Order: sequence, then structure tokens, then C-alpha cells
Amino acid sequence: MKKRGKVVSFIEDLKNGATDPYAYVERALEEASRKDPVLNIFITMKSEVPDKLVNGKLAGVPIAVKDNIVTKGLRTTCASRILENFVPQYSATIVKILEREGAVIIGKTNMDEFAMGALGTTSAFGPTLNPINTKLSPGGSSSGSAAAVASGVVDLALGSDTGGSIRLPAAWTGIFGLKPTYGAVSRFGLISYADSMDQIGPMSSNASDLAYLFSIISSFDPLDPTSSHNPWGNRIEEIASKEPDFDLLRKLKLKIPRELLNHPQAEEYVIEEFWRKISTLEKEGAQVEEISEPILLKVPQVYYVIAFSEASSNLARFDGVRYGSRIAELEDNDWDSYYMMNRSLFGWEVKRRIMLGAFILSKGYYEMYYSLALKARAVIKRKIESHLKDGSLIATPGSLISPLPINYDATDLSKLNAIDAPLMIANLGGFPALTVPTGSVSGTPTSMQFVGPSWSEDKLLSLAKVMEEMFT
Amino acid sequence: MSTKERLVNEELIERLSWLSRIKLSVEERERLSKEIVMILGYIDDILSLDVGNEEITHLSEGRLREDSPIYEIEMGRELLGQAILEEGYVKGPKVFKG
Repeated sequence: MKKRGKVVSFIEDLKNGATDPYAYVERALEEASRKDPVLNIFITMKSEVPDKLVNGKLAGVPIAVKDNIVTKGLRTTCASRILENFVPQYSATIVKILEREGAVIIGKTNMDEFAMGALGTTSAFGPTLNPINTKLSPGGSSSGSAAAVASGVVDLALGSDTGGSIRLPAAWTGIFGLKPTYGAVSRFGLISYADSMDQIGPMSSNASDLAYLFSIISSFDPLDPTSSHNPWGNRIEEIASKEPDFDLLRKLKLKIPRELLNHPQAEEYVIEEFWRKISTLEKEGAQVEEISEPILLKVPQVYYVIAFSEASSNLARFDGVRYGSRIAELEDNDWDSYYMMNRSLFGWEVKRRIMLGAFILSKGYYEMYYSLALKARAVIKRKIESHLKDGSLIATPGSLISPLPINYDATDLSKLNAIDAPLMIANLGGFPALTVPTGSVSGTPTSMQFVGPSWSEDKLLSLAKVMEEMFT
Repeated sequence: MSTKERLVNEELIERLSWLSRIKLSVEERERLSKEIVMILGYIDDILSLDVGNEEITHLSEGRLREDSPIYEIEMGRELLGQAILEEGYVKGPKVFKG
């Protein structure tokens, strides 16, 4: 049986007058009010169905939006006390697109504070729990968006991915997630963490709806100077509605980085399951080649040097003068002490990253760390491009390790290296990357990640449809 | 004592707190001292990378826009809606100390 997208089907039914236009949103709000008290999915949640629905490609479709994307009139906190009561006066371009197309934003989802974290546990509003097992982390930083989809509240959510923040939670909750090519989706109105890597992307319960949402949100935005025109025309929307293209498998070339599969922290069952799926794809015609790139194990270290540095600059704007929470009295403080007191509202992970960034960018360390990391980034990008230039995709497990406990001590850097290394390649190079669920082992979801050359989302999303049909 | 541990002293923590304009509690200072050693130990892995004469590249060249307003003037005013306003001005803390 061919799988159909739930959103795609709803929109078709709506056109044919075969469904109540309010039914989808009503159900989502009901589910949200039932699941949120258990899972802590939302920071701000809507409770009422809108009086009027807008006609468009997403008319009456409920969607959850990560709380680092600004929404006019709707509180946007970045999961931080410093923005605890911040109500934006404008909307991100992507929010305007969703609203123009009739989508109904039912709430702003929980996340790691300022998207800094891999477990969803650095939120000032408490952690989101994994719908599959509430003792486990759902992965971060788009923890609430993943939980909203995985728990069945919505079929569509927006996340952001600076170092795997869409794909890790997708892998750990068993849903689909796409980190688009850098520049494919407008970042205007996305609160920056590390802006040379930040990218908004779709998360969904199924491949068709993932493609459908991406076809709508991927467009050029003059307000984002890094935005680009995409090359696909209607191709992505067609992928959403057409049958899976199994011929793709006969043309598929997969490259598998040996160092990642042999990572000392990788779990045995994850690797075995990965090879089983690769073997199935191979039997269907895919060409598979192992590659060796030792530098990939140092991808997270390169990433962190750049991310800390950019964070220390991007988060300098939060001073409590123009907006944001204030704990210092204006009359009693000079500029510096006012600034320093208000900024003590950042959570520990954010403070730590800003201060490490300040260290890296300071005299004596700038060349040693920052310039070196930028050059290493260029080397990594070039090496990956050389592997992808023959039309190949890089394939890895969606995560080398199982979901970690919600109370996991995140100071164990070797495990975090195993989580980060496969995912951060795409952020350093600006490449698109897709995580698809492939089933489960003893109740734990398994998944695969595919990284393609820039602007290869059409290929990745076609593959997602095929994989969905084969493995779920 | 490693080089990193020698580098991380009270003076450095004070400097980072100042550069970042983040007031730290006593407990946070101690915590940062420990964690900075651990994290620098981790990112030091990149120091052994041979990057040769690699040029620094950017993912996007970016675009320069015309030197004309792209936002409505109202939007600018609205953005200041959450500042402390007095007689039509945004009120900030004193710039001069003392």
C-alpha cells in the first residue's frame, strides 16, 4: 500500500469538500492540551480555534513552531528567562508564509535555550520528554517540535538546525527531519545562535508532508542577505504528491564514512541495523562504497570553535535596554553594570558558550583557534564536496547512539562527539541533510541520515519517500 | 598541572565575565574554571590539523542591498515598544560612571 501524506490528503479532501475545514486544528488543540502536561512540548500554546481560516496550500493545517522563530503578538522566548515575556512586534518571513498559506500555528515549542544543547534539557522552562519513553531525552535542540510530531499532536513542525538540532530529535523520536541547504529557507526572524550555520527546516510524521512543507517554505527572501533562489521549480511539490520513485535506487550511490561507523562510542545494534538497511538498498540496486576521512571525527571540535565565537557576537544584543527581561534598575546602574546584571539571566549553557566564544576571539587565541577552525571548515567542505560530486550521497545512522536518559550528565564529551560528528558535517558545509526513520529495535527508533550536495533536496526527499515505503 | 589548568585562573575568569558582560556568581566562577579546562582540552584537538594554505571560505557571499529603507518606519517604532520610554526617547542606563 502506498503511503499518503496526512496533510496532503487533508488539503485534497478540503478541495473536494470532503472534510470539515476546522477538524484538523480542533483535533490538534485537543491532543496538545492532553499531551503537553506530560511531555512539556510547548512554551506557549494556543487554546482556541481561529474564527476564520485563510485559503491557501496549508488551509486549516495545524503546525508547531520552534520558539526561536519570532511571531508577531505571540510570545517568543528562545526558552530563556532573558526573553521570558518577549512578545515580538513582527513575524519571521517563514511565519508570514505559513499564515499566508492558511496554516494555523497552535503553539511555540520548547527547545534548548537559544538552541544550545543536544538533549532539550537546557530550556529555562524545563525539559521536553520523549513521547516514546518519558525517561529519555527526545534530542535537541528542536525537542518540542519533534515531540509535537512524534506524539501525534501535529503532522508538521518547524525546527532549526545549527549542529543537528532538527535531525537528532527526528532520529530519537522516530520522525522525518530535513536540514535544508544554507540559504534555502529564509532566516529573517530566526533568533541567531551561530548564523553561518543556522537553518530553519521542516519536521514531519511522514515523507510526503515533509516535502510538501518544504516546497512552501523554501523561497528567496530579500530580507535575508544569505537567502538564495532555489533551482527546483515545482519539483518538490510534485514529489510530495506523486508515488515513490523506486527507479531512484538503481541510480543511488552511497558513500559511508568508515571513521563514523567505527566510532568508539557507536552502539553495536545501531551499526548492525544500519548495515542491514544498507544491504537492502544494495539489493535494490544502490551502489555502496566505504570512504575514509579521519578529519570527520574532528568536525564537532571545529564546529564548536565557530559556534561559540558566533554566539558570543550574536547574543551581545540581549542587554535589556530595548527589549527582554530586566533585573537591574536603570537609575542605579551604569551601562556596564546594567548590561552585566540583565545578562546574568542567561542559563548556564548559554553563558558558558558566550564566554568561551569571547575567549576564542580574544588576543592571542583568535588565530590559534578561530582562524584555524575557519580554514579547517573549508578543508572539510572541500573533502565532502569531492565525495559528492559524482552524484553520491553520504549515508550514516541518524544517531550513532540510542536516546540518552533525560537526566544525562552532558559533560561526557566522548558520547557527545558520537552524537555530533555525523550531523555537524552538513552545517559546516552548508549541505542539505535528511533523517528518515527506518523502524525500531526493542522499541527504540532507528534511522538513517543522508547528506547531499547543496540544492539536492529534490533527490533527498524522493529518497525519503522510497525509504518510507520500504522500511516503515 | 596542565598548561590549560595554569592558563585558567581567577584573572581569566574575570576577563571573560567582563568581555561577555555577564555577571557571575562565586559558584559560577568555580564551575567555569573547571569546565573551561575540559572544553578547551576537547577543542584543542583541532590544533593538530594540517590546513596548509587553505583559504577561508564563506557558505554564502551575501548580498549588499541598495542604501534605501526596506522596512516600514512604523516597524522601527514598534520594535522599540518594549523599551523604557520617557518623553518619546528610549531610556538607557548612564554611559559615564561616577
